Amino acid sequence: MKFGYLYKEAIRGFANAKLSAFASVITITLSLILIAIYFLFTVNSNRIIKNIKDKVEIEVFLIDDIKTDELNTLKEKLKAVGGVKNIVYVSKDDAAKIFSEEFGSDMLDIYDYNPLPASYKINLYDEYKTIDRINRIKAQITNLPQISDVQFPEKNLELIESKTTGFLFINLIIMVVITISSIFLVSNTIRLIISSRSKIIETFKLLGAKRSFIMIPFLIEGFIQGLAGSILAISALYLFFTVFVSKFESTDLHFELLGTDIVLYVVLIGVTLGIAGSYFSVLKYLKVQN
Amino acid sequence: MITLNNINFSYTSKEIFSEASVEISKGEFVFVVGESGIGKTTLLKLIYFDVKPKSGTVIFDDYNSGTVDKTEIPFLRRKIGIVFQDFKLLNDRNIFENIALPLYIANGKKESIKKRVFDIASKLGLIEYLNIFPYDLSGGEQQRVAIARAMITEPILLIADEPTGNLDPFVAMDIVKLLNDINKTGTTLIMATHNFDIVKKFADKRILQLKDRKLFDVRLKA
Ligand SMILES: Nc1ncnc2c1ncn2[C@@H]1O[C@H](COP(=O)(O)OP(=O)(O)OP(=O)(O)O)[C@@H](O)[C@H]1O
Ligand SMILES: [Mg+2]
Repeated sequence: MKFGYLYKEAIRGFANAKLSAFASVITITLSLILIAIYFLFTVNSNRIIKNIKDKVEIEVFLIDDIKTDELNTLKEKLKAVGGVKNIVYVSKDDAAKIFSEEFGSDMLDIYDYNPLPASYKINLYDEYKTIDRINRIKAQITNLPQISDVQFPEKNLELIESKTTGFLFINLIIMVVITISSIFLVSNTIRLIISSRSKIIETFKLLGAKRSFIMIPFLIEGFIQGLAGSILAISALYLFFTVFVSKFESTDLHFELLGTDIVLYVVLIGVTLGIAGSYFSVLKYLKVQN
Repeated sequence: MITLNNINFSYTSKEIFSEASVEISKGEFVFVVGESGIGKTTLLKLIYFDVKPKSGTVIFDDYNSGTVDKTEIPFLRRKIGIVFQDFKLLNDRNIFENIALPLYIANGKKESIKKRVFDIASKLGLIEYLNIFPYDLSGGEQQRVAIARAMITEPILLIADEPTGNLDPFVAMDIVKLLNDINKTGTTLIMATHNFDIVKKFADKRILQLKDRKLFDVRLKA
């Protein structure tokens, strides 16, 4: 029976201050949309970076007259270099095939012999995929007599490396700004609502209400506001993405949009914002005198 | 039941009590008189621990202002019925809910709450108002609702701050008679007032006067 009364008290609170309750729901909604956009931005940028990095490999071109047993000893030597995940051998014929697949014309139509060298493609572990480390590996192997040339997509790595630090920094700033402004906005709107009910809090106190009796209806209200805010935010994002998603779908990068995990995070953060906002605002009123 | 022992109390700009002492026994009916702004409401607030003395102690029942724990104060308040000078009725709920509030706070059973509210409402002539809201009542009716709410838990102490404030003499008289009846059932009663006609009509009661930051027992001249 007690919880029933406290729940009624919370609903009464809503009815009392319809406009400010609405304002607080909207504030939570906006905060959640910001947080969700930030989250999706981060997830997808990381995905792009990962995508570029995944394609980074070292191509070790071999001299034409390499012998079969030399091939194997060379492979062992290359494996011994630190950070190697796997090594794939691409023969001269394979290289010609790949070329004709990529460019649509056959090598042998242009030349009367196959000019493409055989190669080893070295895939490194992610943490070795930096210009610095690859250059060190390159220095180790480039003078081996069976090797004609060593190449890797230095430009792509340069792009990632120059942008990553800046990206992390900007990301951090955005996160801090969003978090602080959400908490500030939400607790401010909720404080407005609660100050309009300071007389009720005061009267409850004087009639012998315990802190929990005063607090719980506001927490229930905060919970409902958070839930409503999350549902609105998710609906807004869903609408936005169904309109815009077709534009992304043609690109080969697969963007992560509204997955279950982000929906769950949004609800969790929304409800937390609502409850925490209520809690801290009521606490201020309870602390006055006793 | 109530002891004030060498109380000192001031608001930031004003000293209200200086070494004031008084003792009120169980079952007494006490008028608290004194000019406006002298500290009658403050005295009552000291008794229900809404303000704390700067020094000295207030003792009510088993509660001592010097040693009481914050978490005990709600239970202390449940033993006291308070008719506030400004009523403190809640405009977001009807009269029934207003009167029932202390019972909900004390975690009463739903069925018995209903019965208690109806009993008190009929005693105070409030039955027909149970479904309407405080702002739709006259001052005198609001006063009676405030008294009903203060009585509903059958407190051992009833505090009435200026309960005849803006009532005509007849209604005022009725209210004090009602408080007198409550007192006769054994409830200790403290009533702050500056209505001297009323005090004179109940000449057998104890009169406590606030003056020069102290409390004095006074007798009316015959
Ligand atoms: N919270 C407060 N802060 C500062 N001053 C206060 C506060 N409450 C009351 N006062 C002042 O203390 C004095 C005593 O106030 P109190 O309400 O106790 O008087 P009172 O005797 O009940 O007056 P009245 O008969 O008009 O109700 C007044 O001058 C008032 O202005
Ligand atoms: Mg007063």
